[in-house]
Amino acid sequence: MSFHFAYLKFPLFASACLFFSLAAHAGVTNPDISVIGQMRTFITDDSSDINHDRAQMSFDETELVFDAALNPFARGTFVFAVADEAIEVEEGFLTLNKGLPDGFGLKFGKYRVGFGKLNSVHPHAYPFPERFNVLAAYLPGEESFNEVGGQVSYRIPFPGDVSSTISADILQGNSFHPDEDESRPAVLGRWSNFFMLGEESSIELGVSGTNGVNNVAANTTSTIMGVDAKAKLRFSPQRVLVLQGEALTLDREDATVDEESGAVSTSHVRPIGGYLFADYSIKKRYNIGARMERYQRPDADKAWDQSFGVFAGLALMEETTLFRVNWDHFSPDAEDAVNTFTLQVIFSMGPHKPHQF
Amino acid sequence: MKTTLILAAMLVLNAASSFAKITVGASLPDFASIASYVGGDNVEAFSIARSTSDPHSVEVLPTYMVRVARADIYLKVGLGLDQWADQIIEGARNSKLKIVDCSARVSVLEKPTRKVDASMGDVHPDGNPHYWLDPANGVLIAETIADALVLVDPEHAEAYRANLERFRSETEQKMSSWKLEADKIANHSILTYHSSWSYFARAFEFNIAAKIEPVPGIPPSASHLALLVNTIRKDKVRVVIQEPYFSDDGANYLARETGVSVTKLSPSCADVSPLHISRILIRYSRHLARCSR
Ligand SMILES: [Zn+2]
Repeated sequence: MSFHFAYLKFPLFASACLFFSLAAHAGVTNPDISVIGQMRTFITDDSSDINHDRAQMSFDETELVFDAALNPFARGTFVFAVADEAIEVEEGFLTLNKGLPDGFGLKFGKYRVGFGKLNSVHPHAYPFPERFNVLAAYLPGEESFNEVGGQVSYRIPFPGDVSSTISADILQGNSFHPDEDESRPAVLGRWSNFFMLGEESSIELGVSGTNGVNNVAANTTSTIMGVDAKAKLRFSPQRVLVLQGEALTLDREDATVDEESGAVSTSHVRPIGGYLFADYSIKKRYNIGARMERYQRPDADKAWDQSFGVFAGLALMEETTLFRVNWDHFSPDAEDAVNTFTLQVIFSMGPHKPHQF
Repeated sequence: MKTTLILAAMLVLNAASSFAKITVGASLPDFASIASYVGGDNVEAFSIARSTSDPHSVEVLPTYMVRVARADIYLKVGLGLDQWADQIIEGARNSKLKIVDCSARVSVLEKPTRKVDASMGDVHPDGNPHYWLDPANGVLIAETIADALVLVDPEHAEAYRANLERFRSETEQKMSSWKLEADKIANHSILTYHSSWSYFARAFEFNIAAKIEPVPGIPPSASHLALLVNTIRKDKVRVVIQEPYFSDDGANYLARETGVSVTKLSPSCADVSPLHISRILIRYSRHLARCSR
């Protein structure tokens, strides 16, 4: 009682105590901070680009990552994308892996959604400068399928070394209907299975599905289903080949309003597509690879677009300094092909965590 | 009848639980091996990395998480070497897991005396974490493991303590014969790729004349190799110990230029039997004989 009284009487003392207890607390929760910068020089013969056939330079958005254990049970991660005009919270989420029944995990916040193998990975961690067009064409969201939501995941306790995880997300759903004021939730599910092939190589097979409302008034939805496979074949400690591919189908209901009667009719677009890439790395420093994709455009014509590319990279010391070259040949159906040559420099400071498979 | 059945079932379950082994996961095989020794029949130990893998950068695989999910204790090397283990532990989603830092009792070599940054390469900011190749440190590791086992499984505390004492006396006995073996070797000047052999060198009075990597994590440049050629001649180095997971281009160049013999020796082993140190010394002697100078 007298203790409380003292607090009231000496607000300075009280605030000093608070400050010191906060300061002491801050000491243990200092987060890991990383900053990743990306610069690119490119030249393209795409006639729709006003600067075509001239070398162009750009400084892509800088990524600022904060990551720390919040307490013995939870971890917090923030990823800020800093561009010329603004700072954007690209991701901000909490993961809970302890204190729950064994095998369960929870995640809340804003995050790159775990659809397939590539979407949840930040582009600077790809061996090429940009994600595949097929993902941009089918998945909701502008730069990635990124949503506010919550996830429950569970690792099925199979005997042996197989890691089999199922997860379910409830999402805000706004990336399915970005221009609408009203909001309708979306759902996502994934099942991924990881196996070792011998002692050094591995394979992962996954299935993902998501459904969300693309037009609130008409209550029409988009459903995207995907299968993915990634194999990592290690021939020696110095030589690793990664093969990765995803196949996707989009089933989008489109609402058309009859101008005169006001009647709403719906139609379906069901395109399919996928990508494949191979990345061979030598001595951790050098890598070369090739990528290709082929997909139907998500419109009534369902014309086939395709692209092919080759890439190479040099890492001075893991991802602290990366130099990359990439050549892309994009051939849209019944249009001129577009060639783009890119030189990319990625540099990052801060702790470098090993990448998860 | 019913009660006897239930009683019998309870007995069986009870017996099963008291026979259940304590599962110990370790970042490196050396630590798993010491845990097997100290744990004896009551412990099942496994390692994430293999003796041939680079302990600095182990890929975080879901399979490892599955294995650690079943463990009772996890043995970390500590001193910043196996930071990758944190992600495996996190992904294991195992609330009962006891995490043990095996560097707790070790006196650390090569602690940086000033602020380190990345211009010095991938330097170990907490000092040299490759401490397990000094057998005396092996005993300290065993002590730390024994403490953890006693805490998790007090029922078998006596057995763990007895095994620890056996490990200690066996190592101490062996130490004098290893030192004799080492003393018989004429040349103690070596070149290593990385600082993996500092503790071994201190224990057996080897002199690491230089390292092939100019700074940790960076392969040698032509000018650094030229410096090494000079060092080899000046310090009469005849054997290069090369960790098998680092590029051997530099070592091979030095062999061509100076005639040193390159031996690929992993600083880790899957079985920390008393034979391991002998094996290293024998390999070394053999390469010394093979040296063309
Ligand atoms: Zn090291």
